[in-house]
Amino acid sequence: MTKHIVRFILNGRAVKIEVEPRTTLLRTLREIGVISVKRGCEEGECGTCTVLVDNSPQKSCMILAMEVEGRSVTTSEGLIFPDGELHPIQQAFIDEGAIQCGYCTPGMVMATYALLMRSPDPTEEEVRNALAGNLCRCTGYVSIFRAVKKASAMMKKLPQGAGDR
Amino acid sequence: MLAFELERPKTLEAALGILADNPGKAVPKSGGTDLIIWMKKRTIHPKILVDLALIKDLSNITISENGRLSVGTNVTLNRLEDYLDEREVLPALIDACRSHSDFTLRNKATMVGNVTAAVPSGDMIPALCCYDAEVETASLEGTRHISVLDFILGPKKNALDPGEIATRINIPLPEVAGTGCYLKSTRRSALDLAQASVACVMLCRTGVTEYRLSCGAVSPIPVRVFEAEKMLRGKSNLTPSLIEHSAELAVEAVNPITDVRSSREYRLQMIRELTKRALALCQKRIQEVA
Ligand SMILES: Cc1cc2nc3c(=O)[nH]c(=O)nc-3n(C[C@H](O)[C@H](O)[C@H](O)COP(=O)(O)OP(=O)(O)OC[C@H]3O[C@@H](n4cnc5c(N)ncnc54)[C@H](O)[C@@H]3O)c2cc1C
Ligand code: FES
Ligand code: FES
Repeated sequence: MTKHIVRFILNGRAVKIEVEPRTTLLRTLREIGVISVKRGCEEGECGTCTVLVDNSPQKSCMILAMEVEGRSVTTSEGLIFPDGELHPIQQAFIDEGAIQCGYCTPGMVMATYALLMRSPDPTEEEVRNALAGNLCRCTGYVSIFRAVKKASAMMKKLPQGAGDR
Repeated sequence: MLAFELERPKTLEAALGILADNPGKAVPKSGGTDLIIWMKKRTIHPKILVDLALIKDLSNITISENGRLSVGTNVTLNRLEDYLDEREVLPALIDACRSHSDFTLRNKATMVGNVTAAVPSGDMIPALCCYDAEVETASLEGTRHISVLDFILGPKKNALDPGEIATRINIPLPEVAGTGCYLKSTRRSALDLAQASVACVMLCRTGVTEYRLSCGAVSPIPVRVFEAEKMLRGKSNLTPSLIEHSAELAVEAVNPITDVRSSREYRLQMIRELTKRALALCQKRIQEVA
């Protein structure tokens, strides 16, 4: 099948990639080395492939690469500060022991980031609702919910907008 | 996934042209959350996928002067939920949005796609039936308006002709006060299709309270429980015996199958239970707004 050029902004940088129409955003990202985005079920069920497209959380296995033409895609790599320091959400997951095997973590982090952007101080119910599509086989979720709370507190201490990507 | 070509037309006319030029080969796509799964499983293999996402005219929600809500095919469930929630209209449809998949997938999945997919467990269908919603379609021959009740002909079968697409779903906003809800029985609380579901709408016309009841995942085509609606008409106080009788009529109106999600017997029990809970919840909600 013919290949097509797709152009989009990846973690703040313009990229241009050749893809087949059937290639999902998930596979495209992994092919170019963005491997925080994990391949889990590839059926929209597990959430480990979650990325932001124009600030809205999306399961990248449910999007064709060509659909992000001209749009902005953010992954967990893109949350890291330019000096290499981890984003407060990533740090909070480490601090709270919310990572065991780590397979779900990048997706959890991105879903959390999207949540805290729209609701900086979420209730327990909001957290559960926002992460309902992200499965974790290891932690039992309690430490993850704790990490979200902690990240929310940490981000409030940052200068206005410093945690935004 | 088998290879295909992707077309992303910017106008409805262009989309209809591609579909007309490629009969049996081109398939329209809204969110793609059903399509991508079906294509991966190879239950369908279109040669051309016609992505409607860039057609601006199909991406908005409007309310006309005569109170008709109109939702374009590209409107995601999260956008629809926010819109309805802000205006406090169509509560059963708000519940239905929230019951669908999970928050992240609802940034992609659409209401129109849910109806055109015509899967019996489609979560948007029962509430749309209660609100007398219609599907607006377009083809090179012109436009049609088909009620959601008549649009779904059976599992994965809809009333669209080849080359015809669903452009919008239109819903007359009730002019009277009322309430509604959608209840869904599932094995887990997110990301699960319904085993059975019930939408209930209560409309308080002066002097006469009206009810609408519809069941999901328990019949090949959408079901309105007209017998119960007739019996409940004018009853503003729902007594336990009225509720019990309605549940009985709902069970009589459906014909579920046994599948991986549950047995026919369990589904019948759930329809009985969900109907009772839905009527009770409407009664409770109407008292809260009053
Ligand atoms: C992980 C996961 C969880 C899910 N959970 C639920 C759930 O809880 N409840 C539920 O009801 N569904 C669920 N689904 C199924 C699916 O997400 C929904 O049916 C969704 O609403 C479909 O909308 P869409 O825009 O993605 O449709 P699409 O995939 O774009 O289309 C669905 C079908 O309709 C056709 N179509 C699309 N748009 C048009 C149009 N404008 N005109 C004519 N034909 C058209 C397509 O060709 C296709 O046959 C789930 C799916 C996944 C992957
Ligand atoms: S890999 Fe995308 S949701 Fe599981
Ligand atoms: S830490 Fe292993 S899946 Fe979540």
